[in-house]
Amino acid sequence: MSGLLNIIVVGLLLGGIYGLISMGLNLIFGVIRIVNFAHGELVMLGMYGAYMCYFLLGMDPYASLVIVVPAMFVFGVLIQRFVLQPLQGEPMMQIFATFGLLLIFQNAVLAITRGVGYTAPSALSSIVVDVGGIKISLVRLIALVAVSAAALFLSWFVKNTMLGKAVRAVTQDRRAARLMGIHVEWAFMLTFGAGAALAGLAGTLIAPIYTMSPQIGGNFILAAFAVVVLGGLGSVWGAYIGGFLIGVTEAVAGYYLDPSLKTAIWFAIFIGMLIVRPSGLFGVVGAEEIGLREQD
Amino acid sequence: MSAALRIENLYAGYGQAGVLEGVSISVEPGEIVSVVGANGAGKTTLLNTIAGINRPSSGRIVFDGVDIGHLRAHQLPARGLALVPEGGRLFPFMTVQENLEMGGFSRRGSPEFRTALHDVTTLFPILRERREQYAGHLSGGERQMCAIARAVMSDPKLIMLDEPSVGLSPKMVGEVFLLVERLARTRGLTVVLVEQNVQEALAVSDRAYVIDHGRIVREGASADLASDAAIQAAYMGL
Repeated sequence: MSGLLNIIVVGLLLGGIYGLISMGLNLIFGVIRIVNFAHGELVMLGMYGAYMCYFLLGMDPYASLVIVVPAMFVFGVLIQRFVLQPLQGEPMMQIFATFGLLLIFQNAVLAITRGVGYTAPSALSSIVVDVGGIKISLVRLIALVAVSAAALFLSWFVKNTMLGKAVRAVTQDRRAARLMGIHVEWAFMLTFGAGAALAGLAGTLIAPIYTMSPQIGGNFILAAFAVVVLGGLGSVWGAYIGGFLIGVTEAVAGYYLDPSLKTAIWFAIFIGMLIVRPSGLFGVVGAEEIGLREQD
Repeated sequence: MSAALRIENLYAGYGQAGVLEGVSISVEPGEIVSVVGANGAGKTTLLNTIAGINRPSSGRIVFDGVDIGHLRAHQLPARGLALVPEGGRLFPFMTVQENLEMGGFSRRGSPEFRTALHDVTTLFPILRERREQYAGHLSGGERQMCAIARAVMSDPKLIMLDEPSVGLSPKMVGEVFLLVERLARTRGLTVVLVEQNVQEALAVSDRAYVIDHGRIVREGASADLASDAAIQAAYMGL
């Protein structure tokens, strides 16, 4: 019994990380309607950012959040402004462009690091919390708390601030949003910036957990796609709950079946969900079709 | 007296295809002016070009003494120009209240914003009842009312309505037009109304333009046009 409980806890902790990575991806998809293939690489850049702060400034990864997150926000704004915005109105080209960014980021980091694996150690790395006999790594617990805080903040922001509501308006009808006086391109830059900042947050928080490699983003992005489709496209809580469901499923299946099946299980869920309920568990039914409608 | 809106020799279109071929109209402050014509005559393109959604290829759009032809859609609400697009185009997954708040986006944070919300729901009592509902769940008439109220939230000097009667029952059409007339008369709002429902449009407006194939072919007092045999035959099925 305690064995199963242990596995579920492991799954939940993993789910927190998946949720954190998925949230930015889902935000960008929900608002701008771009599948950001480079999202895993933004997480990867966040990890290397944390390493740079450690290497150059001797900062603990948790302290480097104050540098990495704002820097990634600015980076995201620049990507939207100078790469994606010139392709606006050509959604296919935008998706190819994000794939191009993926390759550029991977290879640039590979060239700079020459493939050496780094870790950004934290003073908190070795701390283990004992909750009712179950041992939990503190750094993983922090990721779980962070994803909860991010989900709460995001859902509060889009419901209670004019800026957040304007972002929702842009999501639902771009032309009508323009007629309200909302600068749609500006909303897109803000959104991509926020998505990249979330990727930076995720990257920094997992920097003490995983050994870095330029290709590590790929490990996360596949899980993130499954999370987003399961939880609901564009839904903040969908990414949150979806992360836990995928994490727990992976942990349970890994223990009772075979760990190497995890990618197959992600995509079985992915395809099954698309067939049964394309709007996902928490998506508004019909909302996913907005992306198919004429948007200008 | 300077016109609220003056359009001079306006050309616009999509790609190579011209839709507007030299349109000139003039609207005085406080007037209700309708632009009527058949489907595809260029009515919606005219409104979208004024509202900054389409770019004019040549000609001038002078609003409140300023040439706005080069401005983009999001810059116009703050200057006092509002467009209610065809079908309303409410934000379907936002509540009625949130839709109204978006209407006031251009003056968010100002002290007038809160009072505007109150004023508008007084003007449209049905919207107060529906305040917490998703706009996507409103009936056709309520949707049109909400779209007009949303435009009023920006405190416009001039409001443009694109086919407000489409999809509404005759009774509802009457109610919407009555409301538009009351808005114009009580708030001193200038109204440009584009309609296929020629009879109703002429009944509510002071003056009217008839547009055909991107050109203004007739203009005059609405009452005169309504009794014109040629107009009746061409557009009113009489």
